[in-house]
Amino acid sequence: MIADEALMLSYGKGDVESFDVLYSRHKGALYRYFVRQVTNQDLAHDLYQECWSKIIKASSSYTQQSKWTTWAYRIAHNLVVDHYRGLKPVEAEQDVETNADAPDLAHDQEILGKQLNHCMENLPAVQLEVFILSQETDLTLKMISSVVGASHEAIKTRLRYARSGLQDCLSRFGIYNSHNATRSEVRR
Amino acid sequence: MKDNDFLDDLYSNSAKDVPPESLDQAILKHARDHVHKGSILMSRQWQQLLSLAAVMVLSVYVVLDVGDESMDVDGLSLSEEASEFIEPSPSGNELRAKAESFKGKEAKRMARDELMPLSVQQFSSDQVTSVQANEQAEVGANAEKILMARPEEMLKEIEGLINEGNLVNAKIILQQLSDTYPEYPVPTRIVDALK
Repeated sequence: MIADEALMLSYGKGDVESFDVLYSRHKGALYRYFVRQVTNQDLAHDLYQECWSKIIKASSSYTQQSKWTTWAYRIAHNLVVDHYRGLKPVEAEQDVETNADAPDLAHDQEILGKQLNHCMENLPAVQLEVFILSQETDLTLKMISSVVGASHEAIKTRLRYARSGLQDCLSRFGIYNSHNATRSEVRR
Repeated sequence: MKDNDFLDDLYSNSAKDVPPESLDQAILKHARDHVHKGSILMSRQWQQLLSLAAVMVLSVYVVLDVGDESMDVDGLSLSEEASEFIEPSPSGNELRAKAESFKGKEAKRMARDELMPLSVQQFSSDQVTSVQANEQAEVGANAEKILMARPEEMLKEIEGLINEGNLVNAKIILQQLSDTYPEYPVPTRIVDALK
């Protein structure tokens, strides 16, 4: 498989097919990076498109100084920060619809996904971003710290809190209460 | 640890969102347009650079050419080898000063006799390369032009030579006159005299 960096350099020299490969490889993760942090879908789409525009524009001057993913997500991060600065204050508790009395539904992938999304929406923005980057990309914590401009320790803390917050939230749906039993079904 | 794995599984199973097709197409089109625009921009840059280079070359050529023409006769570059065999020629200013100092028919002839052999000598020298000889011929020719700037004076000189019976030199001067001033009307008496 051709490395992202090589594809980007190739596109910078005019090879459009390289960009197609690069785009298809990363479009989903990058899209979810925006969609899950920006609740307004139109704004998320705008930011997603703007991010790719910046990548395209920078293609001719792109140098392989860092991993392509780190570079691209730094652009994405800056866009989110610029357009969505001061978004969500850390909110203590929100109205969470518990679903503990409906374990059968909780087994359904779609319901689980919706509940996870709901929990993610309630995460503080900085924790959510680190969690998404850790899930969607193959970036190490050190690379993520480079993307978001925070220390390695801060990233570790944010990720730990994000996971803890999501688990707490999901447990209110009864998922974590019975996750040992349902895990195999979720994986399936 | 198990909780983390469960969360990761849950996330990966729910992470199915992809951008809409229209958004994909818009971005891919933008990527293609950018490459196309970049290539056009590149070709324009080449054209501009090429034009700039051409202008610079021409400018340098014109400056050198003008400088060459306005340069003193002695200023024409001669190689060291050539200068060993050729006597240093008088400068343009010196030639002009000499030409002006010579007054009258006889004086002008003397001046011409003094200056003419220089070019002849340079042309006939076996030790000078043809290029160097050409350069020296130009020096001689320039001296001639300086000396015979006006056609009236050339005519007077021709008449003087005819009167002296020196028809060969008179023909030479007449030829120079017609070469230099082809439109100048030469009196028929002179033409007839030299037939």
